[in-house]
Amino acid sequence: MNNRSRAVAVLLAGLAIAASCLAEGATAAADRQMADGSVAWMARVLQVPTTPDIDPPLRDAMAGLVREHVERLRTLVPAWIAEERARQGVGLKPGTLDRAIHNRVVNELALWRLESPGADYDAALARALLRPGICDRPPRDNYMGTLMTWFQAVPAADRPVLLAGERTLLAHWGTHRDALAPPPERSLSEEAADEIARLRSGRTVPDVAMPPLLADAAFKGQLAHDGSDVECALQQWGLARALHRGDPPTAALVSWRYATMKTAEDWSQRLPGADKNADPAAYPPVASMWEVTGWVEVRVTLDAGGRFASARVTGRQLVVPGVTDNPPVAFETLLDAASIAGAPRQFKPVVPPADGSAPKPVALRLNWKLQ
Amino acid sequence: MNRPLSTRLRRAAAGLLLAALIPPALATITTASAPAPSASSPLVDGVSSRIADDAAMAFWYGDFDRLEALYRSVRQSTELVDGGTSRLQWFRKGLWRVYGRDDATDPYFAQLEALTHAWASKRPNSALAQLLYARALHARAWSFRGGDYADHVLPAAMKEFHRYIALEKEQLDRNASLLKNESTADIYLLMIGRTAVAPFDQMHALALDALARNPADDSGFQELATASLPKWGGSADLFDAVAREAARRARPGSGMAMYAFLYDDVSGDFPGDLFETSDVDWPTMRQGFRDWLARWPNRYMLNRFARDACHAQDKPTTLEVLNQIGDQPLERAWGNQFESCRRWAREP
Repeated sequence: MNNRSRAVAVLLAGLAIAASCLAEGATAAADRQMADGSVAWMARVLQVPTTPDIDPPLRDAMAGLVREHVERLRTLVPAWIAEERARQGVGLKPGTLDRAIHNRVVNELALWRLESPGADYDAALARALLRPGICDRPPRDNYMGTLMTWFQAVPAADRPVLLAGERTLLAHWGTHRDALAPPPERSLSEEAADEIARLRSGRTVPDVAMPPLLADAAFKGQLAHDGSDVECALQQWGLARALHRGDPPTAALVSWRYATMKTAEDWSQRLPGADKNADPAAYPPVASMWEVTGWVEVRVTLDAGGRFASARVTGRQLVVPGVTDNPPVAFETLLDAASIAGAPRQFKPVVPPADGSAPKPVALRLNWKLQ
Repeated sequence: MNRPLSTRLRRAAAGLLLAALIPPALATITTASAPAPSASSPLVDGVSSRIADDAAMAFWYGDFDRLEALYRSVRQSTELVDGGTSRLQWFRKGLWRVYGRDDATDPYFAQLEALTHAWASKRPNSALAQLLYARALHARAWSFRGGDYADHVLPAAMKEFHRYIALEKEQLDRNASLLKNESTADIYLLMIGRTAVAPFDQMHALALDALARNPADDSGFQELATASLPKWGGSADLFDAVAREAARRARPGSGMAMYAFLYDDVSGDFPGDLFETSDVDWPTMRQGFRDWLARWPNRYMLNRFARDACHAQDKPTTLEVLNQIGDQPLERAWGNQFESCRRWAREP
C-alpha cells in the first residue's frame, strides 16, 4: 500500500469511527428522550390529585412516596431500555423499543397492584376496602387518588402500615416478583355470577348482603366491567364474601386484586376495527396493538351427543414484547374472549361413549401469531 | 256532613274490612312503589332534596353510619323546611327511594332484608337500625303481594305477604321500648294497620301518638287520611273529618293548610272528580292553600292551588294564581291540564 492509499484508508476509518460515534450519540439521545418521556408519563399516572377532601398529612405522605418513586424510575427506565437493546441486538427499531418499554411499564403498574407486601398491610387494606360507602366517592381516574380515598377512611393505626406497604411495593418495581399469587381458578366476577344466580333462583339467605345499588343492578342483569360504583360494590362484595367464609385477608385479596387490576385493555384507546360487528374469534385489535402472541388453552365441555357445549380458559402462555422478568399479568386476558369464541370452530365433535356416560371435556390449544 | 268524628270512625271501621281488596299502588303514599328520585317528591328544592338525597344515597351504598348520623340530625327537628315538610319526613322519603323500587324483583328485597337484618343484629340499641329492618320486611311483604287486586294475588304469595307483615309487626313490638320516642315507628304501625285492616280507632290513636312524639311529623295523619278513603273502606265524610282534624292538630297556627294538603294529595284517589265525589269544601281548601303558601311558599303547592281552583271552577282564584305562576308552570303539578285551565280561566 502506498502512502496515498494508506492516507485514504486512515481517512475512511476515521470517517467510520466518526459516523459510529455520531450514530451512538444519536441513539443515546433517542434513548434518553424515550426514558424521559416514559418517566414523565408515569409521573402523570401516579400524580397525587389536589382534591380538597384529602387530609394534608396523607396527601403529603403520598406525594413523598411518588417523588421517591419517580427518582427511582429515572434509573430504572434507562436500565430497561439498555436491557432491551442488549436483548434485541443491533438494528432495533425505535417503534419496537418503544412498544417494549411501554409494555413493561404497563405490566409493572399491574404487578404493583397485584402484589401483597405482607399480612399486616393486607389486613389493613381489607378493613379499608370493606368500609361501607367506599364506592360512593367521586370517581378518581388516578391511582394515588384511589389509594388516598381508601387510606383516609382507615383507623389511625392502619395508616402507617398502609403507607409502609406502598413504599415496599413501589420499591419492588423492576424486580422479579417471586411471591406473586397466581390468578384464582374462578375470577371474582365469575364467582359473583354464580352466587347471584343462586340467590336469584331460590330463597337462599345470602352470606353477605349486597348494598342496594349492587342488588338492584345484579338482579336486573346490569353488571358490567365499566369502572362504575356498581362494579366497585361487586368487587367489595366478593372480598367480603371471601373473608366471611374464613379466607385470611391475603388470600381473600387475591381475587379482588386480579379483578381490580388495570389491564392493557384498560389502557387502550378505542381502536379502529374494535367495533361490535367484528368477528369475535379474530385476533383482537387490542392484542395486536400490544403485539401479544402465544397460545391459550381452553377446556371444552360437551353435551351428551359429543357436541360443543361451552368453553373456558384454563391456561395461557403469552409472549409480550418487553415483559420477560415477570408474568405478563396486564396482558393475560387479551386473547381469552377470542379464544373462547374461536373454540367451537376448532373443536371437532366426538363420538359419545357407548356406555351412555357423559363425554369427557376436551382441551384445545389456540395459537395466536401476529400476521 | 258534620256528624261527630267518633260516630263516623265506628261506621268506617266495618268498611275498612274492604281494604285488603284494594290494590296498594292506587292508594298509598308510603308504600307505593314509585321510587324515582326527586321527581316523585312534591318539593325538590334546597334543604329538603338534600336530606332526601343524602338519605337515599347513604342507604343505596349500604352506609349505615352515614344514615344514622343523618337520622340523628333530623329525628327530633321540629322545623318545617322548604315546602313545609319536616326534615324527618324528607329523610323517610329518601329511604323510600330504596325501598320502593317498583321495577325490582324479590331477590332485591331479600338483599334489603338481609342487609338491614345484619344492621339490626349488630346494633340492637339503634332505633334506626330496628326501624330500617322493619321497613325492609314491609317492602318484602309487598314484593310478594305485588300491586294487583287482592283476589288476583296467588294464595301462596298472599300467605307470604301476611307472614312478612306479621314479621314486621313482631320486629316493631319486640323493640317497642327502644322505639318509644320514634314517630317513625307509629308511621310504620299505621302502614301495617292499613294492610292488616286494623280498627280505625287504633289507627287514629297511632296518628295522634306520632304527632305527640314529633309535632312536625304529620305523616301519621297522612296515613290515617289515606286509610279513611272510600277505596280503603272509609267514606267521603270520614275523610273530610280526618282532614279537618289534621288541620287542627297537625300544624297548630297554620289554619287549614293540612286540609288543603290532604285533599290535594289524594285528589286522584276519589272516584271521578274530587269536587263531585268527596265532601271537600272548596272555600276551606282554598283558604288552606293560602295558609300553606303564606308559611311555606313553594312552586309545587302554588301550581296545585291553581289546578285545584280550576277543577273547583273557581275562575277568579284560578286566574289570580295563574298570574302568579306566569308562563312557567310546574309540569308535574299539572299533568296535561295547564293549557286547558288557562284557556278556561281567561275566557270572559
